[in-house]
Amino acid sequence: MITFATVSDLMPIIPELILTFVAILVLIVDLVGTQTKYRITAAVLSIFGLCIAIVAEIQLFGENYTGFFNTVVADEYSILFEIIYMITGIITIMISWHYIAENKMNFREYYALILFAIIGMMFMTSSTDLLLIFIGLEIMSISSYILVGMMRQSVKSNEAALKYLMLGAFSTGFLLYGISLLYGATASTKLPEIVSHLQEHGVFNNPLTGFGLALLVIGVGFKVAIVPFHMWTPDVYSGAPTPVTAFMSAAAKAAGFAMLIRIFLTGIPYAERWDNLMWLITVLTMTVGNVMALKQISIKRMLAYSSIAHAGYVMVAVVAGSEAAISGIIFYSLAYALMGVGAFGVLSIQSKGRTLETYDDFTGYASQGPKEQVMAFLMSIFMLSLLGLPLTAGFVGKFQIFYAALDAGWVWLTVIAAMNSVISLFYYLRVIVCMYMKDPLDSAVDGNEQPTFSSVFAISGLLGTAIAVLYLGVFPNRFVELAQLSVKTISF
Amino acid sequence: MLATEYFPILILIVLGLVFATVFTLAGILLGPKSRGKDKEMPFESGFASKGLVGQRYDVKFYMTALIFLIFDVEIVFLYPWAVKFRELGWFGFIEVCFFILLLLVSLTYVWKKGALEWE
Repeated sequence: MITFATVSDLMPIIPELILTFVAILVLIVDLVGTQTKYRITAAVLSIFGLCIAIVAEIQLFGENYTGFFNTVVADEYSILFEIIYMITGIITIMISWHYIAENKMNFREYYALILFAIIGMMFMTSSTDLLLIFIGLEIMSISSYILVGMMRQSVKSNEAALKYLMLGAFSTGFLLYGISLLYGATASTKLPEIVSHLQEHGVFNNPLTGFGLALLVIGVGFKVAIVPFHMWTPDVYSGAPTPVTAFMSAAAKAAGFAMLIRIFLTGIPYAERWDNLMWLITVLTMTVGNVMALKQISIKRMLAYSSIAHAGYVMVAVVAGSEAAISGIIFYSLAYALMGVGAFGVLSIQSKGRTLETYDDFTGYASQGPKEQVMAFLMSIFMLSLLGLPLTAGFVGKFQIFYAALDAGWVWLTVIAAMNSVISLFYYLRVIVCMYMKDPLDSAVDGNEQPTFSSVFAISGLLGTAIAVLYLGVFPNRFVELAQLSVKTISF
Repeated sequence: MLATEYFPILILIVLGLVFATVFTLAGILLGPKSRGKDKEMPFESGFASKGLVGQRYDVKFYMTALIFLIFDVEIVFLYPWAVKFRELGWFGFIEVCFFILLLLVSLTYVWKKGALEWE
């Protein structure tokens, strides 16, 4: 007897379906609209679609629908992560409109690709079958390869896209090979079946499972940029259009970690050797990210390295692996998504017709005009939050992760993480010092410019982000409780 | 036990290697040889080779190949549906109609974007 999928199987993927529909609609609008009249339609339509999808997610919260023979689930865990991607998407689209108009890359496919990337991330998070996770990962990756190379006239952007495509495809190969080895050893691609097989037979008794899991770590490691696999990050992040960088550093990374947790922290037994390996990777990720960030001239590259360092902090929680640690990861993903998008977003806004990138560009930034003053203030909030100062979301996130690591007995790891935070003090504060305590380098760029509507749109998005960062820093309870609740739904 | 099961495969491998070596060597040692410029050119479907390998192709070729691939592969989905038509019933019918609608949308997209024009 063959069983077929029915309409009720569509329940858990309703948000994905909504987004797919909107993305296709954006492409169709692109066909009918002329260049000027419909310029904003695609952006507004995408934001609207994302809002509806968020509402749909909230409706699904607590219902625990499953579908397609239990390969897709809509548990609290995936819903929280999916809302994080969609919020990031909304902010990204708000800052994108300004950037892509200024840089002559006003293709409407841009918005559709962002939506498709989010759909891919959602499938990565909400499926419990390795093959479906893989397909979601590919939808996300292929969309972001194109997004990175969207600035067609720029050589740097093209180079970044090619590097990302090559390394990304290579890492995908590792992932797929790992999946096939696991399938060979456990005769299933469904995570619950793999987990029960591994719990019964152990990970290292069969060389296939150990090797397969190691390949999976490599594949996921490329996507979240943990240290031996981080080489592509600085080049791709600095070459890509800035809003795309913001989107990738925030949403794509969160998706990678969501996938990592789903695969590795829901029941696969940890052998002692495994923990030591993860420990080493974590320490390397934090240290390399922070030390390299010290040396950068370009703030965009500095933020790229700092995003590696932040991946390291999240890895601390992955090593700890307790329930508290996982809820810490969820909170940290949201916090980093907000402050990362915010920091890159400030870089994406032009000042007096110039794109700001290096520390020199930002010297004396705060004294250059009212718009610059607002921007400098927002940048300071994001920098302080990335640093992990109290009253910001970054602090609460770091606190939860470090506390969970201490609680699980990883004292030295926590000490190293705290030391790394101290290193990061230097380069985050340097941005603020540059903006506020120095005079501009060239006095030629004065005179007021009229802020365009698109830049006001972008700045209001950043303002919302900054408020969210502060709100999460002062009143984290609600979201922390949600995160703790959602951890209960993924099986242990 | 295991070794005896796989023994025939070993024989097959050895025989394959022996035959391949013997015939290749025989061809090299015994065969008549004629060398010359024309003989040593790469052979491609009877045409004389010209130009270098690292040529750039027009992006149009990739477009056409992509469009062909997409529509060709998507149409393959219709065959299993046709075979299982009765069992899938109205649900399957509506699904396939939706699927074809999506294909139609993408065809319009491709058309409007000018990917079908050669010049």
